[in-house]
Amino acid sequence: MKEELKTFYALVCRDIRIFMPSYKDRILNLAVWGSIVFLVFDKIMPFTGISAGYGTFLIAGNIATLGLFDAMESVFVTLVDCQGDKPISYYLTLPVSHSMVFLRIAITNALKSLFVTLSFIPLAKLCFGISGSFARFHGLNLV
Amino acid sequence: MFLSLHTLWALIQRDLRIFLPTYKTRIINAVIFVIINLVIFEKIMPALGLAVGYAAFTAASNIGSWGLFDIMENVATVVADIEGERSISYYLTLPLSQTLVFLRLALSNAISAFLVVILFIPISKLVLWNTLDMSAVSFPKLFLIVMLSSLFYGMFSLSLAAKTKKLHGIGNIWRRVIFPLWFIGCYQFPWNTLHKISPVMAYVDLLNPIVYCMEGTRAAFLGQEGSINFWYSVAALCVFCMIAGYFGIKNMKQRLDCL
Repeated sequence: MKEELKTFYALVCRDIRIFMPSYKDRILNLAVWGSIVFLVFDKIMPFTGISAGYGTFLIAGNIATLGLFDAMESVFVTLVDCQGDKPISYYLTLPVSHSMVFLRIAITNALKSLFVTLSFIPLAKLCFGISGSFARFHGLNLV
Repeated sequence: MFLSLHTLWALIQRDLRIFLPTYKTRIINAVIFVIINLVIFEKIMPALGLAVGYAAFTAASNIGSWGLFDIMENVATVVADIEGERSISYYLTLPLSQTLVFLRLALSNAISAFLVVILFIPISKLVLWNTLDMSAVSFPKLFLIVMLSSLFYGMFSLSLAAKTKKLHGIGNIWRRVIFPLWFIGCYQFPWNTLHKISPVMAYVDLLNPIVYCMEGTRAAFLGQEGSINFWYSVAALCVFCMIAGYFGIKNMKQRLDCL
């Protein structure tokens, strides 16, 4: 059991090490994403009649759904692995149960989403500050 | 030349034969997207102050933008093929020019997108019923702009596929290219509104091809009033199709080391 957990942990660490070089890219993506949503819904859409403050409402919603969009990439990568070279077959030969091999994919994706979402919080805070609803921002609850 | 075109036609027919078994699934996807989107904008968003009738505006925007979402799948398919089996190398041995091999990718994607998006018209009418005034729809203009938009999305898929190095970078395509173009491409608001808020930003936004897909579709679907002139949108989309096609084909040739 201990060896199994150790292998599982090593695999997750390996995935995170592969993920880290793309971290800067992901933060940049988030900055683009958040700024555009905020710009459109806080500055333009009120002219179509939508309530003021809808931009910050959406930013908060985005924090909750960021991981959902990463799921698309994860599905693509897993599918290509399964259809192509099947590197997953190698992981199935390691001293971990099959459940753990698949669980590792889910845990790694969850950790990646968490890292990315956490880095979105400063931008969200900035948006709340700009729209004057900063008092409603509760960082600790959000984390 | 005749042999080249004949081979191109055979390849497109083959692509469509592969596409058609997935047509039912794509229609289901389209129905889900349209129903959820329109119900939210018709029933929920007016409670937040959004103008009544905005759902019809959204219906037109959906028609103009659906092909944009297929780009992710198109790019992933091409990049996965290049990274993996490279079946594209086989097509490059066929009796047609390399340009036509790559053009076929764009055309097949355009036709696939067109066949799905055209169904948005009856679906939107069924969902919105009395709220959607079909007397304002100019069907010849709508078909023209939907065809041009689909062609642009096909060409644009090719350009992005040529520039996407790894499948792991596919998320960047959505967040850095497709989403910003879509969101500031007048999906949610008319270009005129942006012009009233910031003329400078509005003129910069004219460099975004999605603006013409949206504005052109709305002019054909809801009437010309409040949108950029339909024929300006058509002309701009033709130019953007040529630019995207030129760079897409050129970059694909470079990427695959074509002579």
